[in-house]
Amino acid sequence: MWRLLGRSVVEGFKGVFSHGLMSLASMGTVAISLLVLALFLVLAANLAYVADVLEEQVEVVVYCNPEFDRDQWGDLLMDKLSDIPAVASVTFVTKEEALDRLREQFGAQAELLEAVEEDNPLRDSVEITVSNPAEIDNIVQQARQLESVEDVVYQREVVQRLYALTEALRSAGVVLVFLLAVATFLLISNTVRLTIYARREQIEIMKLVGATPAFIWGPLVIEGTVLGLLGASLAGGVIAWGYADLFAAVEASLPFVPIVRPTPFLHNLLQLLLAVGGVLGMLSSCFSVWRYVRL
Amino acid sequence: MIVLSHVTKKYGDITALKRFTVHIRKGDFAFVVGPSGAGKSTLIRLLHCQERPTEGTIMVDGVNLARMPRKQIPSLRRKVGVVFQDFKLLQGRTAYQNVSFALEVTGAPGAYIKRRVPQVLNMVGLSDRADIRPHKLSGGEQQRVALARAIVNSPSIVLADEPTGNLDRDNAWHVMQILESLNKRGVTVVVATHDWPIVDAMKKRVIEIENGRLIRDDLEGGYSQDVASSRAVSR
Repeated sequence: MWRLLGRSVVEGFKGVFSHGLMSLASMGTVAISLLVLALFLVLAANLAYVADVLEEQVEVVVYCNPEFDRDQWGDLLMDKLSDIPAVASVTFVTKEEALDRLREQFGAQAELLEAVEEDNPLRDSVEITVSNPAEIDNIVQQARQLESVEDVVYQREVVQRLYALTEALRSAGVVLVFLLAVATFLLISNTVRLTIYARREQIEIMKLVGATPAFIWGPLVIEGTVLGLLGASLAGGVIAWGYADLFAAVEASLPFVPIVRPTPFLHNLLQLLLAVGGVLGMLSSCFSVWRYVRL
Repeated sequence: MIVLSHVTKKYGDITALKRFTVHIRKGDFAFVVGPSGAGKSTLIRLLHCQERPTEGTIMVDGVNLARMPRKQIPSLRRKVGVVFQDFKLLQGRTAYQNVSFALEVTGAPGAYIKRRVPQVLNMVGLSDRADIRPHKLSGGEQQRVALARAIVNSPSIVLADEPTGNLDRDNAWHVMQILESLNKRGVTVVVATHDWPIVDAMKKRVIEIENGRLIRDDLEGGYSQDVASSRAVSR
């Protein structure tokens, strides 16, 4: 058993090298198909990331009424708001802080605010971020019913459009990746099948001299697996190198554009590519060899 | 050793062998002759289980090939050496490797392979061509490599399907001499052939097939009935 496995590995690697051109061709096909798949995975991951980032920015602001005593009721209000489902975080903004922010926004024109500083007309408020934009109407409704809440403000239309957009982005990503995975599978299994087809005479001869199916099968399956892994490494190498560069460039010149960080994303992507390449190479050689190996 | 009883082999609507019965004893040297499509190759293919009969039994070494489980086919093929008209050598391997491969398949130890392969190459006169790949060998040399591969496992039976079909006279004779010397050492040899000069000259057992039926079985026959009868007359 171990001897057969050892021989299969040795002969399998030999097979990769002794059929140089054919191996190169199938490795190239595997690499290119996986590269395209990986590009779409990168795209889909970034679309999903953009959607996440956009959703995190959805905010509901709850304004307290002017008589609100924050020292007495502040904690209770915060607790009640946090208890509403789909509320991700709550931040208390005092009216003094609000005024500071305004001052910052006004910048050079800050003296315009002097008039109001003596009697701050702003209200204490709570900023709520939402974990699921679909729940936003519900959150607004519940917040409005709380005591000492004067008004609840959110950008209804923006939120709804954003929600539709992020959902579309995510589904498009999933569909694209799925279709491409199917295409990759067909392409790789066809390539491996051709490699095996080119060797059917060799398989025939092995059978004639009394080789057992496992004896013939082992090396060819190892060979298919190795080709799949090599192709996947090639695709992975190209994508890792390209994405790291892209990320560095985007971060340097367009820091506000959301882009998935290379670690651990690339690490996971590489693992996925290797797994897909190896498993596809193995499975497709298993199936195609089996047809010729049967006695 | 080899007993076919009432063997019929059909390929779809075509019947290659019809209720064919023959008995080949241990140590026999038999030619199988007949026109193209008569069923000679089918017979050879049945004897090493490349095909299974549609009906009838084929006993080889006491085993019925018609009912033998697939799992046992490899071990049968190690006991029965086969040679083909088109040699069927692995192109990527040297003469030596083509022969040693048939031993590796059996799980023979490396030391034995190193000892045995040169012996067999020597037997077929190819000691000095061991490291050459098939495409650089002549047809006769390739057929002798195939022969070496067929006998390296010391089979008790050697089958040959048109072994001289692609060879010139000298090489054809060389191959037949090797087969005859194997036969003298007790190996049963069955040769399907069109090569009438060789059949006539060697005066071995001749089994003639026509349309899938046995029509002649002479112990010291010629390629055709006429030669045999003329010989019978001249006696």
